[in-house]
Amino acid sequence: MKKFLSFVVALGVVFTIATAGGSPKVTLVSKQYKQVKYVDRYGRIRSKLKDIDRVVPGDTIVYKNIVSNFENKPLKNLVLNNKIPKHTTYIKHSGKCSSKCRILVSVNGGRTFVPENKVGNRKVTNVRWILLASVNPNSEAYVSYATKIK
Amino acid sequence: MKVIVFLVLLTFSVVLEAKGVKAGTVITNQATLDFSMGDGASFSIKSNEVKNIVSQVLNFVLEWQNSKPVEIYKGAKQKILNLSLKNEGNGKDNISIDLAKDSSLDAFVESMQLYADTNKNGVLDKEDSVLSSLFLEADQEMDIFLVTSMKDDVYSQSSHLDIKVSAKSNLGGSGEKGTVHVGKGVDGVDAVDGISGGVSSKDVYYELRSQKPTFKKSVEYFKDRGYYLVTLELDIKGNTTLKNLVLTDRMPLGLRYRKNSIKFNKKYQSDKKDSDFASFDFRVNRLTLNLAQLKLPNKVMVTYILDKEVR
Repeated sequence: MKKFLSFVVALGVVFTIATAGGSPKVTLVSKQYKQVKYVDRYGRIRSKLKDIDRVVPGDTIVYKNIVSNFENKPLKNLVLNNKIPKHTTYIKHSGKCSSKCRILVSVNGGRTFVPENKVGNRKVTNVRWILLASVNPNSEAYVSYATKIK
Repeated sequence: MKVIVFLVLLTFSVVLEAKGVKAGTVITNQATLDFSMGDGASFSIKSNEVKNIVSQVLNFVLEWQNSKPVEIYKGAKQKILNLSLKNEGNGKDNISIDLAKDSSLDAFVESMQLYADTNKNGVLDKEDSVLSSLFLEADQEMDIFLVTSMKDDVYSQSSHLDIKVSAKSNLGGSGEKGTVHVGKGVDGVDAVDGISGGVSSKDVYYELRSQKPTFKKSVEYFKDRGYYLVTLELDIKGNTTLKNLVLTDRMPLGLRYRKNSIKFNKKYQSDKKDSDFASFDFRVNRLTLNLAQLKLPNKVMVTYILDKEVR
C-alpha cells in the first residue's frame, strides 16, 4: 500500500473533478514513452519503451493512461477516452488494456465509436477503452495506445 | 546460474529521415475517464496534459543538376555548373557552402565562385548573389551556380577538373546521424542531425578538351548539270577515340536526295542502314552518318547530291 501511494505521489500532478458529494480519491495520470527499436543478440529487431528526451517526425510515442483508486469502494463502468493528438497518426491496433476491455475508435471526432476493424484505412481521431472489470480499492488499471509523429 | 546477456542495442533513427511536422510544434495528449462508484454515482475526471515539442531535424540534399560534365575547350573563359540544395529537414536551416579545390586546378582556374539563384529564374544574372551561406525554410530548394573562370592557356586532353562542393548546417552538422545540438534549432528547440548528419557534399567536374570539333556544311550548284553538291566536313583534333558519334542532316524543301549519291571520304556508301557509315531514310528525308569509332585526329568528308523537285 505504502509503495503504491508513493508511486502515485511520484507521478506528480493529480487530477480530479469535484462533485456535489465531494472529490472521489481517484486519479487519472497520462504518461508518455518513446518506442525505440533495437537488435537483440539473435539479430531480431525488437522494440522497447524509453522515457522521452526529444521527439522528431517519424517517432512513435506510446501514451499510457493510469487509473488509480484510493477509495474504499470499487470503481465500475470505467470508460476512458483519448483524442489522438494533432500532428500524429494513430498506429493501428496499438490500443491495449491492463485487464479485459473493449477498444473502440472514432473516425469522426468522437461522435460515434466502432470496433477498429470496421474503419479500414480511415484516419482514427479518438480511441475509447471500455473496461469490463472493476478497479478495486487501492489498485490501478491502465490503458495505452501508440501514435506516430507525422 | 548467472546468465550474462549481451544485447547490442541499436536505436533505429528512421525518424531522422523524415520531413514531417515543423520543428517547435507542440504535441499534447490528455485522456478522460468516466466511472461509477458505490451507489452508482457517476464521475468524470481528466488526466494531466503531457506535451512534447518537436525537435528540428537537420537534413538537406545537394545535387548536381548537369546531366553530363561540362566540357571546357582551350580558350574558354567562363563555365557554369548547376547545383541545387534542398532543405529536407523540418525547420529553417542556415547552411554554409564551401568549395574544396585540388591544387592542380590552379594551372587552369583563374577564379571560382558560387552564386545563389536569388531571383529564381534558373539562369545566372546580375541579380544573383555571391554565396557563402544561405537560409532555407523546410522543403525550400535553391539553385546554385558554380562559376569558373578559366585561364586562357587551358589545354589538356580528356582529364577532369574536380571540385568538391560541401554544404553544412550551421545549426549542427556533425556529419553523424542522430547527433543532438541542444537548443540550436528554431526558437531554441533541440536540433538533431538527420540521415546525412547535417552535411552534404557533391563531387562535380569539368571535362577538359583540347579543341572543339569543327563542322562545316557547304552547298555548290552545278548549273550545267542541274544539281546541288552538298559537302559536310568534320575536323576533330586530339589523340583519343570518339565513340558513338552520329551526325544527321535533313534535306531542304524543294530538293530531292539523289539515290546512292552519298560518298564518305570519297567512297560511295549505300543508302541502306547497314554496315557502312551512311544511310538515308526516305520517309523522313534524312541522312544519317554513324561514326561508331573515330580515332583522333581525324577529318571526315561526306558528299551527296540534291536534285530540284520536278513539279
